[in-house]
Amino acid sequence: MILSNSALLAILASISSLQASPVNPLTGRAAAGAAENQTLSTINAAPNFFSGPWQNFPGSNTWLSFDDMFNANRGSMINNGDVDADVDRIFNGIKDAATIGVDERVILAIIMQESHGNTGVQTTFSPEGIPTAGLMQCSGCPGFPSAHGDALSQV
Amino acid sequence: MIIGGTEHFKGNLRNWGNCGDPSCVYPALREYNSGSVNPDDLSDGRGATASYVSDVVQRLGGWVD
Repeated sequence: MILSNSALLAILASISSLQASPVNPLTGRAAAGAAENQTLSTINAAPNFFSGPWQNFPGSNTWLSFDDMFNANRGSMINNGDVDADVDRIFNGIKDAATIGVDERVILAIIMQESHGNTGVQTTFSPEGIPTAGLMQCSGCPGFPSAHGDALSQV
Repeated sequence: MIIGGTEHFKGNLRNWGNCGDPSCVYPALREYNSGSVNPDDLSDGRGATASYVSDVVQRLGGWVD
């Protein structure tokens, strides 16, 4: 089949519009939107890369105290769009959630890994197309894209 | 958001001994990210993020980005 140049250009244009959504480098999942996820492009790689069984990874003797760890991450939360009230609510929210039997520091680490503590983080999608939302980017979890301060109904 | 995510992670933790130290927490982190775990290599991303456990452990140790 012979196609005109304009037909070829139209086909190429439609193919390029089908390119995949950008991928969240933190979680490997596709990003649903761009606005609140602009910070993803500023993520730096961690200093080291550990692999192998759990014994190959730094032990709990390397973990900071929760207060020290949280204070160290406050600035990043602010840089990623939070207002002070969001940060305070995250602090209290972690304290509350930890009572089900998860170390506060692990909860905080997951939050920073998944969303940098950005309460308004966009919902992303797993490779299977399952939406994962909110501070901890979990499936079936609530999310409040673009919400901060008084506009944020829950943390 | 935080209660939901913590409940999810607690479920992962229960699959890996339900304890608070790295022997349970680190495999659970891999399961949280990927849905499955290669215990011989927790940086086997299994379709998700290869560096997830390595990154999170370094955050526990004070790395901030």
